[in-house]
Amino acid sequence: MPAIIDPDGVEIVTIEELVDLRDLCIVEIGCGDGRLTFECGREAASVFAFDSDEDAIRKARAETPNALRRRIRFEVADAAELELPKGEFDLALFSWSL
Amino acid sequence: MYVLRQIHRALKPRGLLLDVHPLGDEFPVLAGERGIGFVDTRKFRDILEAMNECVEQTVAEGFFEALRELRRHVVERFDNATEALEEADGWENLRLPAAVRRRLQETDSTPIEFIDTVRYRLLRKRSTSGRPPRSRGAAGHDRATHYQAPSQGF
Repeated sequence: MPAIIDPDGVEIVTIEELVDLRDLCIVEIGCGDGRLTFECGREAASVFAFDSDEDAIRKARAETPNALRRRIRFEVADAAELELPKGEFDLALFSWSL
Repeated sequence: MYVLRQIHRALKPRGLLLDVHPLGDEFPVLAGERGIGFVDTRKFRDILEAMNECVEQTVAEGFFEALRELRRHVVERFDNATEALEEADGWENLRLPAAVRRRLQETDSTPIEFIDTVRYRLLRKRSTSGRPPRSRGAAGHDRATHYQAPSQGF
């Protein structure tokens, strides 16, 4: 069985202590397999999440809960090469990736 | 730096940047709740230092202002020592000291946990003119504070 990261749910509680995620447009840089993306996506208006790891993105897409599929978009991209739209996002989340 | 400047451009005015990363500080290994040593994080800390310098530079140049920071322990839990060792074998910038590796190989205790200290650093976009945003008033370090992005009308 793969490792369980943050079994106690500390990360999302801490993030929500800092930022009210409700209805935010979020960009997540280095989303990996979507672990934090799904948590943030529950409250956010939208999440654009990307990572250069194709396998991780494939896994994230496959495991996206149905209720979040309209809100979360995963892409394979390198942060150093991706050009993001100007003035689009309320929150940029670097999760273990900066 | 390019990525941070891209992010600055992509954020709405007064948009937020939340940087979440492990600190590479004390990184204990537990077997069945008993400490058996620490992960060697020296190489990782060098990388972190370089990364922090980039963030500090964007603050110094007026792209972002630092708002608040929290630190928390985050657990990575494995069913058994074999799985934990497999994970450690895939590390690039972390290392299990030989003594810790040996204790893991010898233990039957479960679960195995790596306990990282993670920093959550919240910054806010400043206008490139360098003018500071309007103050929302002081926020005490001990108070939980919700920062709402401009789209929520705060």
